[in-house]
Amino acid sequence: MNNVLLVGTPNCGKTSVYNLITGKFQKVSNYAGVTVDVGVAEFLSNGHHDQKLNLIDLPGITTLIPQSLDEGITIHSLLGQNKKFTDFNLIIVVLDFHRLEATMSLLFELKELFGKNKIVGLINKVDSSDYITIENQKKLEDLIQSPLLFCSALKDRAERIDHFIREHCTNSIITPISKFSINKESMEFLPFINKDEIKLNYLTQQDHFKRVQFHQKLSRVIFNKIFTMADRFKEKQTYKIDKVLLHPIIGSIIFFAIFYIMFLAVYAWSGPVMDGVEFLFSQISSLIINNLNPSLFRDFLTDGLVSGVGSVIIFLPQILILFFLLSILEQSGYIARAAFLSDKVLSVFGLNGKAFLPYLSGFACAVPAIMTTRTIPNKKERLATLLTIPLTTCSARLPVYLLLIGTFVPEKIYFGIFNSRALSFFFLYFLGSIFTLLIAKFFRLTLFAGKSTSFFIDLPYYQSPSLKIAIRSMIQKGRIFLKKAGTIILTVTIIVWFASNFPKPNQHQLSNINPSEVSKINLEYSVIGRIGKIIEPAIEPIGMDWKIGIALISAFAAREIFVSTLATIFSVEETATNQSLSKTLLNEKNLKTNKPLFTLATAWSVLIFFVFSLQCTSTVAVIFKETGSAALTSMIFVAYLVIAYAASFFTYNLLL
Amino acid sequence: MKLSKADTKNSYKIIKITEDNDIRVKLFSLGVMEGDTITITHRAPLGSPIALRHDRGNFFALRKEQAELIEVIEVINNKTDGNNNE
Repeated sequence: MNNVLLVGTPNCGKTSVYNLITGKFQKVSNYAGVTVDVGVAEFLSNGHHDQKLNLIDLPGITTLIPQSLDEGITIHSLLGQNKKFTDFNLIIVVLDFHRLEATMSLLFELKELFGKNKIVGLINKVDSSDYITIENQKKLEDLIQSPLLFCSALKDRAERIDHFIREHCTNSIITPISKFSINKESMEFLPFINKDEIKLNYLTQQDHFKRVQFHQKLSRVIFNKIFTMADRFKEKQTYKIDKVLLHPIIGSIIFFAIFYIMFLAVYAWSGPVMDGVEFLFSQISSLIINNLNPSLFRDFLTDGLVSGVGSVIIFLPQILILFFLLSILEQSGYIARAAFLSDKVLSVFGLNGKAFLPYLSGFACAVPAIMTTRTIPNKKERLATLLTIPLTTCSARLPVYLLLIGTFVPEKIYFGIFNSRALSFFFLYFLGSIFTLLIAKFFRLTLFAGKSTSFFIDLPYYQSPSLKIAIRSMIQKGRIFLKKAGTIILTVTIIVWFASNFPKPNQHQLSNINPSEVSKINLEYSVIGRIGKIIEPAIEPIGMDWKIGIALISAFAAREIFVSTLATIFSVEETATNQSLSKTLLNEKNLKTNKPLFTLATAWSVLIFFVFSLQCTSTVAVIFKETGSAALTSMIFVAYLVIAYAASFFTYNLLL
Repeated sequence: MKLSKADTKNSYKIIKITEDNDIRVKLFSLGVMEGDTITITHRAPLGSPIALRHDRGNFFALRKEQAELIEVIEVINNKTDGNNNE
């Protein structure tokens, strides 16, 4: 198996090329620094060729001088020290046609290190609007002295690029022909380098930069021989759009409007689809009830599986809408503008502009978001960001928020445009974000105090988003969601169902009790009921009864489980299994006080608890992996739990 | 003068980029060099960051603190090329 490396500047489209050739679907976005780890996959075309190839996607680098840990990973790989693959046979430098001049210099640096024969260039993002004559293509190839292919990874067919790579990949292994230049300061980002195996050439930082600048000048000379700056359609277009979107007032209004519309879309527009899915599940339930004889197994199917897991799956439409819209936004290039408009706020809280992308991905899921903090060079800033990411509102909170807001917040329209439920939703996201920043600031003043490092943000040209990518991204996220429903949520639901059915009380004692009371007594006698009674004193101050408490505790495995556990417990308890979870929650009474179990105050208390609490085993695991510290991981877990409890207590008493 | 003190919409020539390595490397990545012309296109609400247009076709943004590390001089004749007249 021969290995082919993809190297290039951030946001030049390496991952798009990788996805095209290997058929994988790694995240792509019109924003720098999305890929932070090495991706290795076989060529899709390997079946038709004798030569078997692996394509390796590496995090973007701008020069061979690493400035952060993700860039260090790429340098490691180029020096043959990556454990996933030690040798390689071809280096493809992906060049961004819109930034050809700036990206070409990396190609020259690589040629100096590896010699000119093993490197080819893929000039990406060449659209029909960027017409380049064949003579000019040839001329550039002659000047650079490397084979070049002008292409668009988003629009071209895979065969064209595949063919070009196969044509130039040989069986000989590439090794450096000269010493690798490094300066003392950058060694920090190459923590695993084996100095015995690699010949290093130590330079002062100044000399090192001078060499980079030499290559930059060379690439400008070459660029000027062929192209002019005069007729750049994309550049002019971007300039015009930015006049509006970066405008301090109009731009800020649009910024809020875009995000508000996203919440509205997730909330209001998904209603009909959700009703459909909910109807489908009630039909499945009826089907089971009508076709099976009453038995424990039938109860297990209807109460445990359909009600429990089904109660989470009905939120699939929202997940799909959210990720579809997010992908459109990411592809367009707007994210960089959003980072620009909101940077002042981040800087007040002592954070680097580079923290924007990790926080933003935190809205989808904290796990990959925590990994993207590798792009933050300063260790203290990185930790402050990493440890506060769990407070951003990830999509796992969505089912909980949607269920409780949809059930307990009355729908009203303010000023003709603001929907009360969408506003509540917006408020929870806002609260999560504000506290993310406040706690980050607290960290920057205490545990991880230090000067804030520089902010530099690259504003890429706008591009029209590809619907195909948006749909693929949506389907991928939907799949992950269903997979979660089929694994951890299913497992916990089964456990909760068993624990709420067993042990059963002695049936003789129940003989002269009203049948509607029997299920309640059964439930209180079960394992769940007993645990519930033990924890009740602890959660009563925040307005919850023991059933909500059980749901809250089981949600520490994953947040969505809150919904499935409530659904399972109430299905076990109720005789009418066919009503929706919302209706059940509204009708449920607290046995002791005979008041509704869920009041608006209780609902908000739960919501606020979910804003703060770190209820996700995967996130805890990734925090431990990325920080390497069990003490820090447990500290953060406990801290967020305490904050969540305190905030819920405050909310409950405020609304009571 | 320092870039942080420069006016929006005017064009400036970069005289010197001070020795902040981080910012130097970032500017390298866009091919921004001493002697190049840049225009301030926008200031974000509250005055920072500053959005810039590089006459080689790049757009980027810096915080005010970083803009202080870049020494510029105003370009009086707008003779660079078509880029500045929209």
